[in-house]
Amino acid sequence: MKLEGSEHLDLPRAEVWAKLSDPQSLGEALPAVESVEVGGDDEFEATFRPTTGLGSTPMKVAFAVAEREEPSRLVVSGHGGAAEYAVRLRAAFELAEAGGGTDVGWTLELHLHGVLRSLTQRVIEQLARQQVAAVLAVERV
Amino acid sequence: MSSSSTETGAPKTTTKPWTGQDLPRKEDKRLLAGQGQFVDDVWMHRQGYAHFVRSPYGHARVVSVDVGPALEMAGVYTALTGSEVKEMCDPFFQIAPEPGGKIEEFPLAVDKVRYQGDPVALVLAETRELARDAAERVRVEYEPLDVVVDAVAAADPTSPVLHEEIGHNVAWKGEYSYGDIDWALENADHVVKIDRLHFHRFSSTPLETFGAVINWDPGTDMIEIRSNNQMPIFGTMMLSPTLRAGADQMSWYSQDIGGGFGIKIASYPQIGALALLSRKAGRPVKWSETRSEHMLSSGHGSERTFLDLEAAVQADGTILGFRVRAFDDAGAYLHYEPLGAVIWAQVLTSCYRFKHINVDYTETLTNKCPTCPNRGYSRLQHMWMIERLVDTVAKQLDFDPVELRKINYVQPEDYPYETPNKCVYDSGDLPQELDLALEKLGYAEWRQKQAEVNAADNGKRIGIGIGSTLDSGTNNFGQAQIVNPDLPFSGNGEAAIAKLDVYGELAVYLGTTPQGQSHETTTAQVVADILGCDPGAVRVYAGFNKEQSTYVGFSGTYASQFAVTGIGAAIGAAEKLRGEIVALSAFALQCEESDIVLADGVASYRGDEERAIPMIGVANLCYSNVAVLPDELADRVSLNCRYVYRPPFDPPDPETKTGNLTLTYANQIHAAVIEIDEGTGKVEILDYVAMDDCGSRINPAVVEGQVHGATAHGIGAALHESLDYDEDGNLLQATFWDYHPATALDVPRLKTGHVESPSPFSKNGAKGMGEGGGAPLGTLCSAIQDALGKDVLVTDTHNPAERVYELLEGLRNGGGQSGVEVTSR
Repeated sequence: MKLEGSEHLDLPRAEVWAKLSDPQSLGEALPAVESVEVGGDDEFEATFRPTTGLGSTPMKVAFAVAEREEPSRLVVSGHGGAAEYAVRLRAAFELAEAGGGTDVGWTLELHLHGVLRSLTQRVIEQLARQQVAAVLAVERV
Repeated sequence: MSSSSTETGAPKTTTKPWTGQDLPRKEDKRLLAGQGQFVDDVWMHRQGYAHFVRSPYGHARVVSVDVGPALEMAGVYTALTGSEVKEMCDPFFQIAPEPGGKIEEFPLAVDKVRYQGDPVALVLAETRELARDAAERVRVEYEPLDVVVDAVAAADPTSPVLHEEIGHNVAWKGEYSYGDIDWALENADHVVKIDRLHFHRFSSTPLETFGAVINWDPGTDMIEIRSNNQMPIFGTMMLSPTLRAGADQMSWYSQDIGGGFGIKIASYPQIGALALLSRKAGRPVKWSETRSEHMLSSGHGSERTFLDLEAAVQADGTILGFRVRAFDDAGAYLHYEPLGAVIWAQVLTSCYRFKHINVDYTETLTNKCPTCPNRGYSRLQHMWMIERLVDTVAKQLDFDPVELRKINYVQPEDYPYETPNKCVYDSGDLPQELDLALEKLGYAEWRQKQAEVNAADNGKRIGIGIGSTLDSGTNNFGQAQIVNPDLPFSGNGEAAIAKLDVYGELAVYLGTTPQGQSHETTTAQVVADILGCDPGAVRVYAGFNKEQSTYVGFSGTYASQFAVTGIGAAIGAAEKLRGEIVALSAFALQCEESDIVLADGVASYRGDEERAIPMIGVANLCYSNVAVLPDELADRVSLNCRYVYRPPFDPPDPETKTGNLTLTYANQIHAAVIEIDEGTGKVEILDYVAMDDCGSRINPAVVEGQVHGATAHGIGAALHESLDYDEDGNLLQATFWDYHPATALDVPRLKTGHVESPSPFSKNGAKGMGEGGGAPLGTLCSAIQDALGKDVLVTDTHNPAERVYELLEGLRNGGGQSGVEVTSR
């Protein structure tokens, strides 16, 4: 699944960049996150507990910055899962200055594997959009 | 005729046969009281509970499997991985010749997973919940690979390859050619071409999922398998060489089974893995499949795509034949396949007299759950395609769909009718059956109503559809040689033992594995007629018991055959037993055997009911008073009579792909009226008729139950049930949240009826009929097509509201995108 969108943030690009590119800050901005472990400048592991119709199950996802072109482009990739679920994703953020604020264009390529995919099929696109919006909302604050 | 109450609750008659009566089911006493014994009710001393670790990926390399974190948990006994399994056993025997025959499949995935749900490890623990928790701690590192989930695309050499040992995804390919289709297409008055039809993937979702309790005894080396597998000797054939165990080491048992529909033939890979787990653990293992596991990995029904279908049609409506390319989607492994690549040929012409047929058949491997036999296995797909063909010819060339069918049906005087591939249809009267169906439906009145509603333009459309199918029963396993000439299989058979026990009890032991087909009831009816007693006095041991049952290689319950093979064996055994009872009675009563009458549970001298011996007396002579018997008589009676019923088959000819592939042909004609909501595409069934002709009916109520079940199943598949995969190889209906089996709310009140054309080929005139032919699939497509007209084509078996809405959108956009081309001379 590939999604894309854009947001305008009333923050200077450098500030948005600082938050987006900081693993701790980015990790904590993700919804349904239980914990974040930063492994280095460009890596962190987040434990999620997504809720589905069958209950909730912890899912660990390892994130890494795949591309970094400060202050305009950041690409984060992730992979992980639980016993019967797996997720692979690649999120790209393009930052452009716009009237004192920042335009953020984003794309998200998401591959969800396992029964979780079946259970979330009618809502996964909306959930993914919410996820990105939540990240950017934190930046906005 | 005298009558009184009996143990079965049915009126007792001494002159009317029990066979043919609506006797209540003997099985229901325990089943309705919750006293059935299903596999999950089985418990073994020291048993552990097993849980499979399954791949979330549709296709991936298995980099590593670490069961260490699971084994650290208190109460976890052991775990088993694919690499261990590879050391402990050999790959499964493949039915396919090369290329499919080169596939190396083990009970657990080794090095690579090929569909979502492919098992990579097993965990054994002291409770079911602990096993599941421990399985979540097994760390599997995967390297995801590209997937292919379309059977036609899989045949493309550039597609991702599932099995490197083959090098491509074509498991089996063959051409079936009869008559001269080139001549027919060149000389016919019309050629109707359909670009593409698709028979979708669905399953039977039995109420009881797979399960097994297995003990590989470390002392005796015997493997005790308590399961709900429905074809245990086939299971032995598959597992014995894989497990490096003798067939005699494997003891299978089953009692009650909560639905099978063919799917439970395919539980042998799981049983193999569990046997190895038991061997490693040195204790019994118990496994009950979850519903999600069942949806993901038990086995799916066959999915088939038909391309470039061309029919040759004469001006008077005679359809000379057709040509088509068929792509069957086997999923990731060949489970019972590629037998499906020939089994459809049992119904080559379906209900019709086509003479010229060419089918180019390709079976491919995809990153989906393996397919396996499923109610109407491989024939539904072919017969649905033919029904679409007949309906499309009628629509495009303006023939009346009723008359077109009648012109092309096999006629009553044609029976026994030999098809172009030398199958022999035994009996029937299709035109009469269609007339009765339409009469029950009120066809003329509905046509009038349809004209009114469709003209009113009020957002509703009415359509009327017909579906004609066959339920071919009792396979000739020689057809396996058509897909693989090296297979040493032919014919069929079933065994039974009829016994008079020490105190005069009558018992019948079958080798079958009923899953709701009422074997205890119908067998007792038939045997009671032969032995002159009440069916309640005949105890029937259904369910498989290695030590107690008698069996042949094809024993089991599948492929619509019990009424012919199982009952055939019971009849043969009961007749042998009757001969012994008569002989002993004649000795006791000092008369000729021809003077003995068996009635009301006693043997008596004809014309003098007082001169009689009860069954306990007959048994006494054989078991406990044998010294009084003359040697000649003592040597020929045991009161334990085994009989093997063997249908009259010859091996087919693999070269020409001809031969009698099955013994009996029940047929079904369904008719339905539907209403489409133009705003949503929702289809509502307004009226439904299901006619059936299964020859002589042993118990009409049981037949009626099967007709209801098969019709509900077909309606569910046509409108609700589908197993779809996304572009990553994820199954989108992995729970009943998304997979919607038909419920009472989805099935209309059915009008049923029957025609009775006894089979000349079975011992009792009966025909197998449990699978039902899938008539609802053709019927509902026909009705939807009828409602929509000829400017769009119903191309798929599955027509939920969204698909019908798309067809309506096609119409609203001017139609013309039908995928149909007509050429007339």
